[in-house]
Amino acid sequence: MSDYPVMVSELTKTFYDESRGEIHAVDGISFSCTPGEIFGLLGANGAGKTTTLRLLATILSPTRGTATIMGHDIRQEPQAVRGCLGFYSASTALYPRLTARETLEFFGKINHYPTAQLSERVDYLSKRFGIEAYANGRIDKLSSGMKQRVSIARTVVHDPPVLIFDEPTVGLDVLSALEMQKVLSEFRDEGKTIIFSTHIMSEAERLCDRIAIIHNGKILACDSLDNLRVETGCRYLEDIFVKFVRGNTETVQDTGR
Amino acid sequence: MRLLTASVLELFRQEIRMFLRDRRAVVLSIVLPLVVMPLMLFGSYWAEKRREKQLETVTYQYTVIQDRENPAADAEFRAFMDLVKQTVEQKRQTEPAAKDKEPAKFAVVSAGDEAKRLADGKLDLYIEVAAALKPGQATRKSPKQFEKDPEGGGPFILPDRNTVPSLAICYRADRDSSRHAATELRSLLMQYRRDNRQQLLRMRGFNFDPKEFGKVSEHDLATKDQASGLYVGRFLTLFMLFFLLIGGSAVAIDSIAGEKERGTLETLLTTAIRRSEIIGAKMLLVLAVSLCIGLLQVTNLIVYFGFKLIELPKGLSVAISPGTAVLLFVLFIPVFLLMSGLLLYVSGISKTYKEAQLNFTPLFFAGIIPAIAPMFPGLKLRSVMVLVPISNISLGVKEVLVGKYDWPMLAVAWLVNAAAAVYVARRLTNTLSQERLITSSEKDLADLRGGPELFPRRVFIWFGLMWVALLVVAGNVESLTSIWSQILVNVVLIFLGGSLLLIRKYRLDVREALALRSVRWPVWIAVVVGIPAALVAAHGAFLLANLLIPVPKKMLETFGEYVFPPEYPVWSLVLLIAVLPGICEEVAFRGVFLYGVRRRYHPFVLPLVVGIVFGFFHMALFRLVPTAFLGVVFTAVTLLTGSIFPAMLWHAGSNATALLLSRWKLSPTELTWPYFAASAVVLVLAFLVFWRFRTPYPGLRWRAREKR
Repeated sequence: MSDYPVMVSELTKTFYDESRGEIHAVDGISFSCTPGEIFGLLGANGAGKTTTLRLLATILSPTRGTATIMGHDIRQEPQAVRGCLGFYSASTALYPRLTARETLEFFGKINHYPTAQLSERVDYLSKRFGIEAYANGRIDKLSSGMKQRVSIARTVVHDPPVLIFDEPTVGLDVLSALEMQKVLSEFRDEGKTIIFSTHIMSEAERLCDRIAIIHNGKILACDSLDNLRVETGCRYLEDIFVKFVRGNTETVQDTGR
Repeated sequence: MRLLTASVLELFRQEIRMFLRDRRAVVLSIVLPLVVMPLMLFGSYWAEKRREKQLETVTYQYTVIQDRENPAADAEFRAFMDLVKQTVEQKRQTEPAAKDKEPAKFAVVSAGDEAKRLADGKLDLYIEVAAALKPGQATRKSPKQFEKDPEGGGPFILPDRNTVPSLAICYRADRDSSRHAATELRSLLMQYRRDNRQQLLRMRGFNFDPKEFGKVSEHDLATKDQASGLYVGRFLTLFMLFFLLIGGSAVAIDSIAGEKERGTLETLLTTAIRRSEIIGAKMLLVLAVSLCIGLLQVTNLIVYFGFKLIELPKGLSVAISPGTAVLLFVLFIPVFLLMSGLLLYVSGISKTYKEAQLNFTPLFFAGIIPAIAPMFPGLKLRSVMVLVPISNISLGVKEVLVGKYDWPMLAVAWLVNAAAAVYVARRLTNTLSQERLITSSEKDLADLRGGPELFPRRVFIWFGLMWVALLVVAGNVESLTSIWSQILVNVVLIFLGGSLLLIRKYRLDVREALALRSVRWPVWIAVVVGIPAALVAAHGAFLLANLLIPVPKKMLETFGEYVFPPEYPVWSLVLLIAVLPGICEEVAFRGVFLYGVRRRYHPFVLPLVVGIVFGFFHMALFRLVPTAFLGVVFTAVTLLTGSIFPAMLWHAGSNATALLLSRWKLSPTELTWPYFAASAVVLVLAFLVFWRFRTPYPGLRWRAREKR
């Protein structure tokens, strides 16, 4: 296994639309992540962030290129890949008619977490995320804040080394968003590799160790915030982002693409 | 598909738990059918009994319209009615079977304005006496008296032929009491007539019951179980699939389409469980729920039979041995898995719950129709039918119930259904890898912009509407019975008019959409040579299809006379049958439709799709295969030449040739296999010419790509 928990190489996803022809949602991107790192994918809506993360989670299969998660190829061993990552997004919901505890136990089992230790793990997570009080309450009876906590616990119930968070703060209030950021920091401190997508600049600035700016399916820049500042001469991430995206758009126009 | 891994069983366990906790689903799928069915049956049983009771106590009001030529008819008819009632009452007292039934009571009321009074409910019926009995013809002697004194002259003197009484009972079928009164009176009169006839025969020396004369008796050599097996076998698969579809639809729709809407499917797809395991668990869920519902419904039916709420047909024996029950269960397993898979597939290809509900209707019919195969006389499992999923098991079940086991064919049928179930499960697994199907995506730019970008997504809907228009308007409007009006409405208005409207609505480029391009000259020669060859080959395809669904010769002759009516001059038929369809139908199918679907399918699949759709537009089932075959040929030519014109010439030429052959009384039934072989060779040669001088249709999709 390589030193990098996540290695992405020339990953490409092309869709075919009956009316618009080929759409390059992800266009030959490459990057790698180290343990205990939060890697941010920063891009506007439709830039290709979610498709990239879905490819890494093997929800979709790539058209070209590949990636490895903990040494498992997303094309060859999709099941093993999913077994060692946790995926969280605003659209990954919970089963409304299960209780919080049943949810954690169910996801632990189908992610092949050792059965003997599952109960203990569920107790630990319930305590850690403060869901003990409503662990036996059905998900559809919980508030959105409670659901968010259960959802995070669901993501890490099988203790995966790699975590993917796709715009996790979309639709959350300020306090919930801050709580999410805190949780992400804690996971990083535990040595987990986190790939985190957002279009909120302040969030990326605060959390990410490295940032990849993605636009039209391509990565335009990938470095630490400090290095990006040096490269562009801009202080704020917003300016840095705009500079890269506008530069790319002009290039696209120049080449007539 | 993996059915019994730990993950499958765990997911299945959770799915069942969630289903049982979903009150709405449980109520709709299990409780409601269980409660509604008995309520409906009790209700209708009670209502029927009550109605019968009420009708027994009613005295029906009627009046008699007198015959103008015979003013005494009224009084005579009353006397006649008295006699009728007397006879019937006597019969009631002597025959125990008639005792339970109270005879209907009638009371004559004054005449005048009968029709209005009948409409207003003030009268139950009135009787028009067209030619009344002559006074004195009927005596007041009862049949009993007559039996005692047969020599003294009977009451039943044959009337003169010209004075045979003729009664017209006028009633209203839209009123229960009126309809019932008419039925009762009719049966009263018929009973009287029967008795009267018998008495007359006795008078003439016929001294035994006429029923005994020339008596025919039947002896059924089949056992009671075999006879019942045939009866039950015709419907069993149909009933089972009906229960499965009704019971499993709610859970199947919720299981994938519902999960998409709720976002839980994406969560599941990010776990270590395999796609095939997800499908396996969901198929088990649908199967378990639908079997449970089916079992409850069958138990329900047995209870109703037990309480005699539903009467079993006479002589029906429903005793099935345990061995037969096990065999039936084994036979049903792959069919149930196939149907569960299809239900889930419909759910899988739908982005929302609502869309899945809409898609369920065609699946319901597609699933039910093959199961009616045992109702067709002459269809056997040991035929090509063994390869048709669902139909083959339906036929097999019937044969098993009749007691004729054809083990090799049963095994083949089982394997065919199992293979179909695996195929559907694989297709279903693929739907879990397509982004547009994983999430319930929102509208995109093409939806907002409309125009040519949107047309490919709407083309099937529009052609579906055109098909419905054809079915409804052309098939049901009586004024469209002549060939002229049929062609004008079907071909010109629906096909040409509909196509032009689509071009206008979606702002399509006319030249592109209709493939208006010139072709090289050898193409025309190949088309002319290919016309008779394709026609012969299409007839060959028809004969092959005829092996599967035999078409009565009479039907073909009638159809031929309808399409090529002999009273029309040839020139007008050439215009109607050849030229207009050649232009209008090609504009619709090889023009607009092909343009709409050109990127949806691989170019090798396109002719099949367009051909089959073209075949379906010819409505009659027996025309499906030959017209679809010609549709495939026309589409292939269009794809190779990039132009609609060769297909237009071919279509028109083909129809004109068929017309002329019909006029010259040349029947294709004379054709033997050398003709079919020769036509195939000529067709291949023609297509080699198209290939050599090809100018391919632009914008085709040669590589298989994942749809968004």
